Amino acid sequence: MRKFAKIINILIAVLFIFRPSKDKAEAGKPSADETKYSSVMVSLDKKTGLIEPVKIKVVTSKVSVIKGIDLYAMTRQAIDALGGMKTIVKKGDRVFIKPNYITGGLDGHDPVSAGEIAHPEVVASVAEECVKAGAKEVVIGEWVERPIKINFGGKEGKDGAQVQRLVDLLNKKYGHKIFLINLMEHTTYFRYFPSRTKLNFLAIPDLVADADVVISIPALKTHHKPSPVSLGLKNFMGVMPSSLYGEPRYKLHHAGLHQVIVDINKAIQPDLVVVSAAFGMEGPGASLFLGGKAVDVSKRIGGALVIAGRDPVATDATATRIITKDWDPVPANPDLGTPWYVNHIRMAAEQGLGNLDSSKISIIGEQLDNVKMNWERSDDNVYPELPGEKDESRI
Amino acid sequence: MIMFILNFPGRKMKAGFKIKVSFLAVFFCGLFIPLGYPGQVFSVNAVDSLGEWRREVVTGREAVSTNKALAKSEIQVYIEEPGKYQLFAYIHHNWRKAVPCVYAEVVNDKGVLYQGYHRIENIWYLDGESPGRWFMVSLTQGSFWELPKGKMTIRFWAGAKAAVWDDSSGQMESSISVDKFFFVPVCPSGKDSNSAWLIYPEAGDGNWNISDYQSEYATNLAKSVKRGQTLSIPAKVPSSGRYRLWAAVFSPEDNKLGITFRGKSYKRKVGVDIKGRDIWSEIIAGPVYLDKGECRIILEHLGQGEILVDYLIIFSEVSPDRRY
Repeated sequence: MRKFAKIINILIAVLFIFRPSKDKAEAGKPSADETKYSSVMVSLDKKTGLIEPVKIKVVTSKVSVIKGIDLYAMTRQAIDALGGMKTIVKKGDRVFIKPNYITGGLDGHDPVSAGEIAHPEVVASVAEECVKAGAKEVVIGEWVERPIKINFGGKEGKDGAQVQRLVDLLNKKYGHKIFLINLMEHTTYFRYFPSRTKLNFLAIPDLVADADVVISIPALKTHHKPSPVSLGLKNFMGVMPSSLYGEPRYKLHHAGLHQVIVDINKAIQPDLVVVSAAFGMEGPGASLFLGGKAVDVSKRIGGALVIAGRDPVATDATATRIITKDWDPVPANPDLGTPWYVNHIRMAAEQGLGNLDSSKISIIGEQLDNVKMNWERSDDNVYPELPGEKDESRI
Repeated sequence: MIMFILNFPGRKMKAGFKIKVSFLAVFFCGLFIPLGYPGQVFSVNAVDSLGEWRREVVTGREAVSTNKALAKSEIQVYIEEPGKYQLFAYIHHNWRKAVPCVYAEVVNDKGVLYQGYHRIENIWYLDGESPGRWFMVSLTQGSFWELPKGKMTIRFWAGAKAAVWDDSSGQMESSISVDKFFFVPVCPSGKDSNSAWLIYPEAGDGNWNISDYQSEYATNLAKSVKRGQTLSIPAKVPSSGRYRLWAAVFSPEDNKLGITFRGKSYKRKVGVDIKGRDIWSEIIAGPVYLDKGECRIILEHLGQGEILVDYLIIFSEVSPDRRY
């Protein structure tokens, strides 16, 4: 009888663990304070022999750091190291990918080797993994107010949109499932999400707000005031409608950029961040026009990097650690490190979006010490952003 | 109405009195442009404003313009349905260096209710010959304005900033023009809210000509020159309900446009007559019942000659909810 009870309990525990998750669209995205990074374990009561499912907070977030030459394959490897795209994208899902393409090549140069935008191979590789995992539709988009010809490495690139060619190849192979779009022209309505800033609410384009899966693909960059780095969390500023918030989104800066970044990520709940780091940008960052300096990562550490994680805070924190080797000061607690002095990353961690503490981040692939670099920081004293300081906008 | 009063066949009504009555009728009935639901107009023509901005036709649109910083004009509206609104304006400029900034405030008998502004990026990316560009921008400060029922005034003016990040004033580089104002309601939808954005015809597929920038009209647009040509534009419906379609169109001669809304399980067609004009005008189609989710808006040229479409908006007939 006791054996039978044990079997029943095991069955209950197994059913509990593998219970079907609610449809995201139906259930609504979980709030930021829900335990996104929690899982279910089973514990055995030695006295009764009963197995109890116990919900616990996972202590670590996985971040993969892959070094190499073949960006396409490295991106796949980085995603596989997290469990593969099938753990993120389900059959029939609508995926929205936000590459950092909004700033780049404004002077007619190649924005890819300038490190201004995410590498097209990384973007295409992520899109292909989504399609292979069963995505119904993969939308790659930015909100761009300027004419379409300078989007996505258009005028910016030497021969027009560089990622478009890769997308065309994928669409030939898999059927027309990947779309490269300007959100301004493909948004029908905005959905409003709460904001802790004086704006109270933020308007997010429907294609982003209603997507089943949202992926951020930033380029590895330092940045000028008001943020020392620009990575996966900040990348989502580019989905915000400039028609509402201005170009370049000065109304969001006025409201307090750091909290705005956190609020956007709370609303969107990104499922994956893949940092493109074949080329990057140091100094004031963002673009050559603004004084940023191109970095060929291979020349610094002997290979390009792809950094990926499902926890956007852990991924940004890891990417920050990689490029801020000798930045000082750092907090007394070494587990916090330079990311703690980046306002929006610290605030995102404090508000439950993910792990910043290095003791709670498990690195897969390269050892961080082997790939750490000392990128030039912006010369406008934007680092460190100390906790408690005024949420200072650029204007 | 004026003609009716003037032609009223009463002997006792003298001509002078009739004129006075006519003026009073115009004052009370026509001074305030009604905005509200259901099926009410939610756009306001800027040429109906009074003040320092001058009337002119700018790249085919009747607009008001100024090149004088802080010159003010105002237009009176009547909000029939209280609720949350975004105030948009369709604005033209041809500035290459300085940053044009348009300000607006909404005033009622209790004073200034809200103030807002928008700095528009200068168009450094267009060649020097081009006649500028039209922008749809929100003048709302914050996420929306909660407007009470009743008459109010939109007061607007312009200025210049030396740079986007520079709060100090700059020189007005040239004129700024406003074509229309839109009060776009923020509508409740389940647990959250939404508001409409423009539907750009260039996102569509079909045999209309798509232009990313058409210098004659200083905008991006879709153009059909032949009867039977269709354009299928993707759109999304935030929640099931009755909707109308608003569109900015240009057709030099009287024309007809077929509009089909095609969702997963429905297909609804409406026809709209376009009155021929040599300037841009507006059409409103519907209402039609649309299901939540994706739909295609299919435009079909059903007349003769050319039809140009700049942008469309689908707006719900659900009244905006004041509760949040």
